[in-house]
Amino acid sequence: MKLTSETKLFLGVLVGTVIIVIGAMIAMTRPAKPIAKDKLVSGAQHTIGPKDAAVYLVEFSDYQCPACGQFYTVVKELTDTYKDRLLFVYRNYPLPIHEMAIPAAYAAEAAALQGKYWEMHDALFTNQAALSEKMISSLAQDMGLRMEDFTKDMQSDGVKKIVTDDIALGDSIGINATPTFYLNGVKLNLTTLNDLKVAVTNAIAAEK
Amino acid sequence: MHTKEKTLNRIIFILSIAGLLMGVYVLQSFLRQTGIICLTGGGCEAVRRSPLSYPFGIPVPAIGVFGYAFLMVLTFLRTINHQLGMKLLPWVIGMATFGICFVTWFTYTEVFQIKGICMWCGISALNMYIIFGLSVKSLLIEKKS
Repeated sequence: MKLTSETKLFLGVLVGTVIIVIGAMIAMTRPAKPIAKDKLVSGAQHTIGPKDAAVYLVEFSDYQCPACGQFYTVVKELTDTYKDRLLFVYRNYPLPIHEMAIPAAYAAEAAALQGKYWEMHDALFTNQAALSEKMISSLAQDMGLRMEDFTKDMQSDGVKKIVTDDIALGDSIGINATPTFYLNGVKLNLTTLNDLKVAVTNAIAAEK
Repeated sequence: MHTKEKTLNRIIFILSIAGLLMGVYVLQSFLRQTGIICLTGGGCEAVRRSPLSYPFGIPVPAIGVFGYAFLMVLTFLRTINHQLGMKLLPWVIGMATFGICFVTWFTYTEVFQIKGICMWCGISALNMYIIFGLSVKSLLIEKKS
């Protein structure tokens, strides 16, 4: 059978495409390498649990994202249950679509300067549905923070840098949604809240 | 094949390759559970994580890859000779019809059930609509001649 020039051209493109697709599939379907603990944990401002725990969970989160609010309760349960065996690291990753996400992250970091990071963190998630500038001030007052310092710190370059550094780290490892969890450096693909519980429980059990 | 039809077949072939490459990129992210470059915020991630993106356990981009690969092969085979080209045109239209039904269903699912828009799915849906339009146009040209 004599092939027309049109058929030859199509055949060439077809073969080229198949080679590209096969090459890309081979290259891309290799499992992603775990991210080094140093990169995810070192420099983290806020952790719960022993620093040398064999199992570590890093969360990139946004105080205004509804899914983060739902996972907050699961994380709380896990950090309570495995307080001696799990290192939990919280990293800020406020999404631009959430108006109050950045002020909330600044508020948590400003509260940290007065030793009340986790109190503010808990309060922000607990009151997520009603987050506003007024609500943040009210939470800070209820916690007994020095309001003048708190307001000043929220706008300080130091606080902004902590949040910006967390975002830059998230960007550098390809995060584009919240919450994103890394368990022992491996990104978790979670479809339900229970998936996180199962993943952490299994990792802890494997370390026994 | 008529010159105009030949041009349309070439365009469908190129669009099928583009769709296939997009599908492969998104599929690898589904398989590796890694992030997708997305200009529509976290929409791609929301779509990837949703169980609705795995009808009968098959990742949606795998269906796209299969569909575009099939279109690519059909458009290639249509160049062999005029008779085969005519015989295969209904297959191209059939595949494109299935394609637009599928992308319409999935776009509806994204917007109203997953509540997230994946940029790649949107581009692929548009691509399939164009392919459908071009294949119908080919049929009209074929009928005229």
